Amino acid sequence: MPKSTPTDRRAGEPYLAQSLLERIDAWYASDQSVAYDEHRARSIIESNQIYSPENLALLLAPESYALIELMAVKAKEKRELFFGNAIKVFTPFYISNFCSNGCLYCAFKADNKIVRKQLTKDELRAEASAISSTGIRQVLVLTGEAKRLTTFEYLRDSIREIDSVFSSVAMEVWPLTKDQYGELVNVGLDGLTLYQETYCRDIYAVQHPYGDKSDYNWRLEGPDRACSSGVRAIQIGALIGLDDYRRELGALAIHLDYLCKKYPDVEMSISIPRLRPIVNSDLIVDHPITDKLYAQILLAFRILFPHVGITLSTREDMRMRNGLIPLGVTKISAGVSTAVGEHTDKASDEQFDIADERSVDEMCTWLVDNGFQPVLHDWNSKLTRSAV
Amino acid sequence: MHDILTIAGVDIHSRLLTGSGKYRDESIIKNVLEAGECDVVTVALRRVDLDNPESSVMQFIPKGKQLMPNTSGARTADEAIRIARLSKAMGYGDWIKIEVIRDQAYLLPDNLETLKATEILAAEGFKVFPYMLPDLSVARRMQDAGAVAIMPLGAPIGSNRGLQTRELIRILIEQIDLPIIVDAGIGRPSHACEAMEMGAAAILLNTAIASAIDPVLMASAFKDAIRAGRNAYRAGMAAESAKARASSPLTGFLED
Repeated sequence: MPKSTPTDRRAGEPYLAQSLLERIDAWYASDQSVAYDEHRARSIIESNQIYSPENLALLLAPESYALIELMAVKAKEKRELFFGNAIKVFTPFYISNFCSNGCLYCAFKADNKIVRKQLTKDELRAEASAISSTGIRQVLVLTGEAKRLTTFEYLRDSIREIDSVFSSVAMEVWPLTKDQYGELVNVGLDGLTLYQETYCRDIYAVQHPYGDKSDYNWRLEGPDRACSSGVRAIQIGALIGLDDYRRELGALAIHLDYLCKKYPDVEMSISIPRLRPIVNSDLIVDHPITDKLYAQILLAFRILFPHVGITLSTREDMRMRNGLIPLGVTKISAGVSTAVGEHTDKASDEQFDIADERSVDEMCTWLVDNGFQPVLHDWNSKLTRSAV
Repeated sequence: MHDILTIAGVDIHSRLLTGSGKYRDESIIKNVLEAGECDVVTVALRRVDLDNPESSVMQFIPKGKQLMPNTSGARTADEAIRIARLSKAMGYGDWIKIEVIRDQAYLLPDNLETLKATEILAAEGFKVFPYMLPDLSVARRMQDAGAVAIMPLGAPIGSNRGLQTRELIRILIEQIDLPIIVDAGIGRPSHACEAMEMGAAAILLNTAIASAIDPVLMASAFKDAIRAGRNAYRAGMAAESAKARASSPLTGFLED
């Protein structure tokens, strides 16, 4: 696979997110140790304090696990206050897995010998109709990054086509230019998911050894470009397990806080996926995250960022999802396949193994039985693009 | 005694207006409306599946209710206007609650964008209900623009914190010759009762009913509280005083 051309940034052009780049770098240069004080940690939870770097550090400290039940009670209360009983349900829609990047943790990496596929227009329609028949109205379109095969024009035409079938379309693809985001908003794009994967520049360089994805700054600034182009919802995240979780999540929180304040009209959400096994590789997770710690992390974010959405993917199994949904999750996937074309059967290999295989129906039934309202339709891009 | 609220030519018998979101089970909406004796229901167009409107919350709203579609999700006047026009084109009538929100943390409305949308939609013949921060100057402009009522918030949406903006709402009630419908923040029947005692024309609330353990009973509680507050307002409440006042005048002996 040829190394694709670099981004279209003009040399010397200032970053939109200059202050963010500076804050992140300052975080990694700082002494991140925190003197643990249980009385303070308890008071952060009980007195409804919101995010500050120090509050987050205290709630993420291993000692705070002793307060997990208190955190859970507060997190549940905040979820109910800000989001009621509603849980948004969506499904990922893989349209291509060609990729010229070398991300060590991802099955789509260019040097992994897997079955590759990019949906043709007819296949796209068939797949869309198969997904739609499960009741899903909101999808997340995914690709690898192979701009000569999966061109921007292909992406745009696919989103236009998919938007005609679903009420709301978000995407998780390579970082685009501001104008490209604007063009996609015009054909129906509502949301952007763009994970930095790791905020640590050194680990980022190791994990993304080649391909356009190795440009850390361009990726970090992607949400800024999308927010400035009319995208309604942004989801950011970090893949935990690559670095010390406290350092990683401290940086994620800085990014989140920055976006919330700079773009107050954009709906923000986060996802904190744990690494999962991939095809053809014995993935070694340098900093494994236990179930208990994972729960503590989600609760800390729910408490300190009460209005931010939290998405829980099928990387987590049924036991964890069932347990965590009531405590702060606002959006979940269901009826998931991480392969291209699997809803209509001529499939590629998968991006990662999923751990919760429940169908849309099964997931919705579970939600209703447990007092939640599954929200399959929360927005329609035609509402604001109609010609009336 | 005749005490019917008339807005845009429609007689509204119940001063409890309610929403249709956040219900665990939408099929109880009908019972909630019955228990609260609600005539007016607001519906977020964003939750209506345009390709299949009947599959949405609309199926649970009994025929004959006055619909007040809202523009939830709009971030600009332009988006609110498009949603309003689409709502009318879909047959949901010409009432529209304008909600323009550019703040995801507290969901506070943007009064300037709301005013712009109100001006344009009222000129097109919509019956416009602007949801706004209780700012007297902007409310006057809403009135000039042709709004049929003003909907100030008591506290942020869904917060259940009551009349945090009490004094500003009091001023609107006193100064604006349009029905003032307190919308958002009302968490308890006592909050609703207080707003009605102050002279609010009606209350629009959703979360406090939808999130109650027994939404039907809560709707009935709000109906009673709103009626009590309204009657107290009409009865003319005695002034409050910091000190006790004897029921028999202290200077009565002078008359002897």
